[in-house]
Amino acid sequence: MTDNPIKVAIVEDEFLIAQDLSYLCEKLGMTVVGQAANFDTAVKLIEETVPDYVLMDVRLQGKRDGVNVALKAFETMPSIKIIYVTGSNEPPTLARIDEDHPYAVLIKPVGERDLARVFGFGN
Amino acid sequence: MTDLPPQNWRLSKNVAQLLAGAVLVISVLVLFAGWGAGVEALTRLHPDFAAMVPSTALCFLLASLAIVIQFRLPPALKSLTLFICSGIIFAIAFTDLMVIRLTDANGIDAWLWPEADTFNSANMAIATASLFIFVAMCLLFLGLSRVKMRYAVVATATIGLIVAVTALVGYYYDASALEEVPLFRGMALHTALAFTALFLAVLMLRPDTGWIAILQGQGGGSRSARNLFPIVVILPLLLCQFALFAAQTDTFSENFRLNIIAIVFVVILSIAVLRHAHIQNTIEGDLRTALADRELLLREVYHRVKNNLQMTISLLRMGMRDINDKQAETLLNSTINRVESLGFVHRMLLSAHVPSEVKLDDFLKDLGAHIVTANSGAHAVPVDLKVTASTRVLHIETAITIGLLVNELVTNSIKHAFEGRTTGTIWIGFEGGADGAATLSVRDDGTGMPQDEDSLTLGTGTLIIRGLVAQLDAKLDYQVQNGTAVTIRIPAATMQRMYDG
Repeated sequence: MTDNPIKVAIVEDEFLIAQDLSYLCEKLGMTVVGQAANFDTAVKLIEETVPDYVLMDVRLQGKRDGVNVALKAFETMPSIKIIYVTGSNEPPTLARIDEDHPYAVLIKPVGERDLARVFGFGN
Repeated sequence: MTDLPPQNWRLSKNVAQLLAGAVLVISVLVLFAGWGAGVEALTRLHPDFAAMVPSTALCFLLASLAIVIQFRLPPALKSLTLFICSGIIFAIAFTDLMVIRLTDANGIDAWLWPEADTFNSANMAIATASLFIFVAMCLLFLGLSRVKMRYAVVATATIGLIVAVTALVGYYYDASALEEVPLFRGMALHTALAFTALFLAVLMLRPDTGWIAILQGQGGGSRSARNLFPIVVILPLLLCQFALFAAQTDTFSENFRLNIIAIVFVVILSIAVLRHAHIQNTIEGDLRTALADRELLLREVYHRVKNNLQMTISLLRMGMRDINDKQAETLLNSTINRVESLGFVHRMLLSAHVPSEVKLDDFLKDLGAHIVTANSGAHAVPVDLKVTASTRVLHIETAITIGLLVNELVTNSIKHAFEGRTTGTIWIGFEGGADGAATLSVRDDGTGMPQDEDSLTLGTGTLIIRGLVAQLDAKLDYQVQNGTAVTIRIPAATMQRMYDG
């Protein structure tokens, strides 16, 4: 795993949460290729770094949300696995996420085990 | 019953006094100038009309006096005055009614005032006597201070008002036609007027009750009713006036006039009903929007709370990076787990149908699974979790407290009960008793006594459990037998309090 680490991009507009997710991913042995807080930087980050996974917040700074980012990225890189990290598990948000084809959905607060589980480490 | 502003009370009181005062003046004039001094124009306003007999004038005098002076009397005396006047009026009216019905005598007036006998129909009309019984009832109810009596006052006065106005309108259209109705035969024009004024005065004494309250209210419905009320009163009168005129001038026949009146009323009533329906629909729509907005706002708040909890967890975890102290790390981890349990309640709330209630069984299953996952370290024993809970819903406050307790108890079991074992089972139960009390239980099949190895976290856990149990006024029962069983009995009063709060 360390020879060819999994690359993760983090799209999250809340700095502290982005930091925490980075820390947890690195703790699990993955490489964090970068953080983005809005649509434009997120699309740029994904296109430049071509990560294996994107941890995607639904609500971002600006008008367009994480689902917009995912749909945009899907046009050029359909193999990227999008893991949604959302604070809201209410039906409208989940319906919005379903417009994309999420690899997984994590509901905040996200802990170490939750991440380990979706990335397929341990139990 | 509605709350009226003081100026409305003052206005109603003044109107009541004015109306009763007018009745007082009429009765005094009829009694003393009319009958006493023999001015016939006062006893019968028009040679063709019936006269107001002395007993009628006397009853009006008593009733209006009772209303006018009640504002100037102390409460005890006020009731007494009302009762006495009510009694006398009832006695006079009842006697008159009985005498007219049972004998051929000319009634109480012939006895009181022999010269009255020279006039035809020199006794109270049946309607007059009946209305005085209503007046007597109104005065009696006014004197009784029970709250329910205000409805009796308004109901009685309203019936009286309708009958009095019927006679009044009869005079307006055709006095001779009214005279042909046995009930109203012999009722004078000023008798009908005085009754109308008297019943209105009584209604004005209770302006916070019934239809008068609606008419006086502050809401949009009351404003609209005030605007429409004159039309509602005047329009039918004008319409019938027109129909009467048209029939008299042979524009159309008397029967066709019924046709016109019927159609016009159908149209007017339809407009009223549809307008009411439209207003109700609008209000319901507004209400639904407001409720939806409120729900949206509430969900937004939960969302914020959850985000803040996630940030709290992030901060705690960032603080952990530089720590090499095993004990401090354990403590921080426990704290993170506790904050995550708090976040769990909000997660459930956001997906809940009602945004302030949590379904208990789902909540405990998800929370339990989460706690087990959060504590499944490298050397942890695999734990089988079994949840039995009723499907009732819990209010957010209760759910938070129960959630924190379950977090501590299940974490304790996972950490301490299965030392040296390969598997373990934990049961979480929540049952509501028939008496409204509830029992939360967490049980494991482990080795029993918790090992006091990290006393710092255990200390905090114990503190939290004790504090929350005390907060619930609950009783904690701790048993070690084939494992550890903790039972927390929450009294009915607490459950009730938490639902109300």
